[in-house]
Amino acid sequence: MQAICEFLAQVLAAAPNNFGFLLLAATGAMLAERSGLGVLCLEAFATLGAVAAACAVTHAGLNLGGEWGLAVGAVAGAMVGLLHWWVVRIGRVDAVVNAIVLNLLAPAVALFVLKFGLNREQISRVIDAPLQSNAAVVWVIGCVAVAGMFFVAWAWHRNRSQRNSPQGLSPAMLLAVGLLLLVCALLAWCGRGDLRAGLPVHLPFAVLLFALAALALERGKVSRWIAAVGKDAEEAALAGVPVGQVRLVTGLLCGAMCGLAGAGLVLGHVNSFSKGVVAERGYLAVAAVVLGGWRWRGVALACLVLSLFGGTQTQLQGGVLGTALPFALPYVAVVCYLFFRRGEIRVPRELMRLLREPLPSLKFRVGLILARGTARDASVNQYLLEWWQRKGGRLVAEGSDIPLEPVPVSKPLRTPESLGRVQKHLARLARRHSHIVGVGSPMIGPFSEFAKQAGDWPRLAIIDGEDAMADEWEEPRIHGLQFAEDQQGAPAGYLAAQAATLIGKPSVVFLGGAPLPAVRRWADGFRRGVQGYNRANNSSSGFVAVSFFQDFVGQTDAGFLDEWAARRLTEYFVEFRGVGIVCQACGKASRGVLDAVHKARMKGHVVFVVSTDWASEVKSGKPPFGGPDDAVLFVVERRLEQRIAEWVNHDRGVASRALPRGPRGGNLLCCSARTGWAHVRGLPAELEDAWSKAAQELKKNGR
Amino acid sequence: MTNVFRRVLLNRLPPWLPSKSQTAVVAGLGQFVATLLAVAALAVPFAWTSDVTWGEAMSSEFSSPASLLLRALHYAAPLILAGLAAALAGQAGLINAGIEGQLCLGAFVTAVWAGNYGFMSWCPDVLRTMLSLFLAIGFGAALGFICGWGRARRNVHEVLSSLFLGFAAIYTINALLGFPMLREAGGGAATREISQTASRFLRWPELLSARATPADFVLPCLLVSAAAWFLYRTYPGLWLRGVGVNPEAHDRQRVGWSGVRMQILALTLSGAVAGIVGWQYILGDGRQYPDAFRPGYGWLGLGLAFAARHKLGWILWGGGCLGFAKALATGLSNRLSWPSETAALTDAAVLAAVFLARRWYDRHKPWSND
Repeated sequence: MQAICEFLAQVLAAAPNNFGFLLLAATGAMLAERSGLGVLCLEAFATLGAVAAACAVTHAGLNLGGEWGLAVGAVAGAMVGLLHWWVVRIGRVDAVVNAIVLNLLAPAVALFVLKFGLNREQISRVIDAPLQSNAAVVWVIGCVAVAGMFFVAWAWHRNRSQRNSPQGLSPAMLLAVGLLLLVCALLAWCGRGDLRAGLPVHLPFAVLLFALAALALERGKVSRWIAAVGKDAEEAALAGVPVGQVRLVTGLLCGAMCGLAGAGLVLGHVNSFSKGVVAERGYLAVAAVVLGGWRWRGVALACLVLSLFGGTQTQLQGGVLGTALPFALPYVAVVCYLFFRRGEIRVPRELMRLLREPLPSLKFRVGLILARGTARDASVNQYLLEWWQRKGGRLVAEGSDIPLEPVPVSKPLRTPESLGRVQKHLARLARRHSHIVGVGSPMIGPFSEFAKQAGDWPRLAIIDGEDAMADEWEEPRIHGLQFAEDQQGAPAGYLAAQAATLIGKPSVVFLGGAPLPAVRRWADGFRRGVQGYNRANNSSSGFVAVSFFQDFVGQTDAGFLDEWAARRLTEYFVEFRGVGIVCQACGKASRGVLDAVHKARMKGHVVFVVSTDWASEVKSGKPPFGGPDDAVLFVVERRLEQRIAEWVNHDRGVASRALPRGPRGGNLLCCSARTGWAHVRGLPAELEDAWSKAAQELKKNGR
Repeated sequence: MTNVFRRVLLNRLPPWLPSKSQTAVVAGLGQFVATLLAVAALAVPFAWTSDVTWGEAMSSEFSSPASLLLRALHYAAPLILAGLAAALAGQAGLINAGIEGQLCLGAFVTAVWAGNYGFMSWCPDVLRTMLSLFLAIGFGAALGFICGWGRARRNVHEVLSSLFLGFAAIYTINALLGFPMLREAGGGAATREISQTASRFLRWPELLSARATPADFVLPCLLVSAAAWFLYRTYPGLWLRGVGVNPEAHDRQRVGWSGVRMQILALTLSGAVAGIVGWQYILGDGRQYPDAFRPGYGWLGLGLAFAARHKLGWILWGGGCLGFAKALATGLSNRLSWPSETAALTDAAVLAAVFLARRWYDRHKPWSND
């Protein structure tokens, strides 16, 4: 019994050191990770903070006191936190990768600094900083704690006077924070004289900063900002939250707290510095944050438990479990908790977006995607919106409209009310912003409501179907493209067959999304075009297949599924059957086709025949297709092709300014069944000549 | 002339217009030059204070350019394999942060199975070596499978589970080394050495020097080729990549494959390759599992895979550069008396070079939009 009591007493005695470090580091990590900045590099922050503090205290030229050593450690940690933020945010490096590199670098940098700063390999038992002169530290901590307690009392009184106020803090929260501040003040009082005499030097700091962080995370604008940024950075940015600054501040704070923890470790606990002084406590702090579910109560409890584990480790070393096995215990415990817990851990959503693309830049002030879709196609809208954001556009609103053809759906579709609401919303947005691009929407319907409300918006491009043609299209501010399926498919098929022959892969395939009548008409026209080319030129360009994703995967009610089916189908045709030309008229699934052909292009020259869906993308400067040396065929129809051609050809308008210029000068081939070739630029000479000739023939034949 | 002027000044494009392969070659060469510069930058402060000249240091450490290349190959092999392990998970959009633990587990299993312990004395050395390979693969894959299962079924983030499982494995192995039956007789806390004949398996045919084995060259090429074939020429590979680019597409009933299974498969394969790294280390270089074994290959491989954006060719070349830098830094550190741990600075610089080269390539290759 006595042995057990002694064991427990020793465990408890060893716990505060670990607790101070873990609480400080975990508080910083909690702040940063709740704002979506992943910090697996607490180890690096703490190591560099520790070496900076050790150098500051032991360097003969500096000869700083212990409190200055803590400050130097905190500043060094903050600098590394700043570096981490900068690399992640500006350098667009994944946070996990940067953390790994920093963790690799930190011991090496520490040794480098020691070698050249102090001319020794490690600082062993030489840190004898005059921590006795810590009156300033005690006063600062005590004053902040007392002020915090006054604030808590005031908030309590305010809560009582304003019951049911949504802004108020809960009594439990106030009680907890008040107690924490009281403990902090007591710790500061107990530690006066010589902080190292009894309690670890960083423990009062840890408790104080943790209390302040808990307050900051629970109420006020800061808490809302951090929560918003952690939940969805794009939405937060649209709501006016300075995403970058929030993450910068939390990254700095995290680095500073970890640096302080490292400095406290070497100055107040270990009393020496070596490259492994932090001994993976940083990873344990991450574990504490995970165990605590990114909530301050849970994190505090997890830190307490893990620090007791740390004390147990110290006592168990050399026992029956050996020296190493106790070190495995916390990790095993964390893994067991993660695997066998009940319920979900509420991870900040932004933190889980590993490998995500960087936040959109402000090059495009506004992008609006109005997706084609049925009532069951909310996922399509969502997909397109996400894709737009990934490509750098900013989300303003989403709308839903009606299907191309009546297809079975679960909800009632187009109603005047819903359409009017969407258009009013569009108009409001259009008035507010300068550039709006509408994509898809084959049956958005008459735009009278929209045009009435839009006011003085400058530019709108709508890609639409034939049946949306209405008098409102004469409105000069609306630039629309029309879709005439079979007429448009025929020249496309003709040209595709010709291009396939030219590149030596005389087979083409047509890929469509759903076998809707309009798409079938387009495919029929395409087939006729291929046959026409073969007849005219006595050629044998093979028309491989008309393939629809819906037939392939069973159903296509979600955009990303279409995309993946498209990718899969295209890879099959291009890579396994050697198809040279892929013609697609599949709207939202086009990216799958394009990506697959993009990769397959390593093996040969593949030409896209892209339908009108992507015209607006080109105009907005972000064409979804691969790149500058492709021949991109736009097939447009009716009244607007000339306008498109003007946009493309001349240095005015959105398109010509934003178009990427390829090695051969350009990439756009604009074609119409009525006007022939509007623009040929930047193609291989033989292809250009042949296609021009073909265009003249087409024009002559009136096809 | 006007066009050139416009390209250079207005569009900030080079006057020459390289193809994709030319761009890749330029990026790769730049990466190699950056590697050399990184080593030189680290060596200069030490060489400044040392009496040994550069030429002396190089000639005394590397007898010929071939020996330098062989040494680089020797260092590069585990890095390439670790990078491949990370890339297999990365292709599925996952991060295997526990490669270090998985390779330690593979190494430990190999050391015990192929070591001079009585319980395997009946088994011929070659067979024992082969069995140890399967065991290393199995144990590494098992660790990866747990992480994949946790990710797919329990929604445990694979970074956390693999990281902490890796640490747990490392410390548990270190604890097991304390048992007398596993420890080297009369020695420290390390396993017994495996026999020469068992380790000769990797050295056959013995054409190269003692430091570099043919396996250093064959194994990475073989595994990278196999991985490339799997990823780019098979449907499971396509599905795995598909899950990586769009994890939300894993609806088996809709698209025909199970994203959950692909996630588990990716992490299992990643763990298996990490186990092979440990196997190769023990049979090729270490010949016993030392106390507190933390080679660092796992972290470097992870960094390499991310810097190379999980592209296998880039991992191969980047790993070669990293091995070259390691060989140079290790050799020079012996002569110029700098702390060997500071070689991590070179590693980080080379990783940065790979990252920048890859980014430069992505921006300047003819197809640069994606």
